[in-house]
Amino acid sequence: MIIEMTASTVLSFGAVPTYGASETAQFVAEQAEQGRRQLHASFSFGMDGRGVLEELYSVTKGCLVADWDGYGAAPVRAEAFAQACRFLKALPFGVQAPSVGAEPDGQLTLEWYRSPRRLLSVSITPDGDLHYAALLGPNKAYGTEAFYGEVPRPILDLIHRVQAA
Amino acid sequence: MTAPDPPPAITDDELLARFMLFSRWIREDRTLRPDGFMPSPNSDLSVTRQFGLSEVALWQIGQAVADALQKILYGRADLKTADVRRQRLQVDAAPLSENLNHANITGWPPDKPSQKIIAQELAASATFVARE
Repeated sequence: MIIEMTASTVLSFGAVPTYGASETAQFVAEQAEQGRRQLHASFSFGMDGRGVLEELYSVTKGCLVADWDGYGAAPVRAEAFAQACRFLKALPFGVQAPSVGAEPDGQLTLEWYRSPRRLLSVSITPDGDLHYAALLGPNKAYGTEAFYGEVPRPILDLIHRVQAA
Repeated sequence: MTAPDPPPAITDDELLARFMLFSRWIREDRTLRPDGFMPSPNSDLSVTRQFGLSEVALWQIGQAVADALQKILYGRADLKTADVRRQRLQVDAAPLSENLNHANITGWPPDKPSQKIIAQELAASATFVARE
């Protein structure tokens, strides 16, 4: 929470254009930009520190061979792993770390969970398609979005809805 | 290992067991992840009918499945047949020589998002029973 607030503060500060031409104004602008970059890096590290990338690697490693589940599952391909890494790194500040899984068709899954009827699962294909499904109490949402380096808005909204109390 | 042959017709109140062979299919709060309920590439989901089986016999089947697949048996998910059919899926008896109570959940929609939402519904309605 503290990091989130600090990140927001610095991000907001960094987003304010600095029109002053003085050395001081230049210094402040540079420091703000540097702080923004460091915080973004620390966020990525934070995801890693929370074990998500490690979990992603571990799950992938256990599913690299065909029939990894004994029921004919397709192997998880390196491209799916790479897409999942890119997706995780594209998550904005303040998003909770998901848990990682794999499915019989070789797709990796990221799950945001609050309860069995309040969750979101996103499957990531090697081609960068994102198949998602969410239960939100009595409501359901599911579909497919393409991943072009940014988390698609519908998925981000669902993450926030699952996280919301 | 099994009791008298189960009848081919499966009633709504029959309990089905899905054996949990990956620890990551089970959350810390002992609820179940939908990953464990996704259909295989053959578009079916393997389960065991609990009809006529004692707890001991059911666990014996689960352990045999785990041994055959060289996996660890962490427990089982108990599902009501009615909950499966509510998702417009079928439960087909598919007895095997080593498990006469074997069945397949079939009729999955072809598109992935629809499969995922159904797997979430099944996981939400299932009850986890840990291996003792």
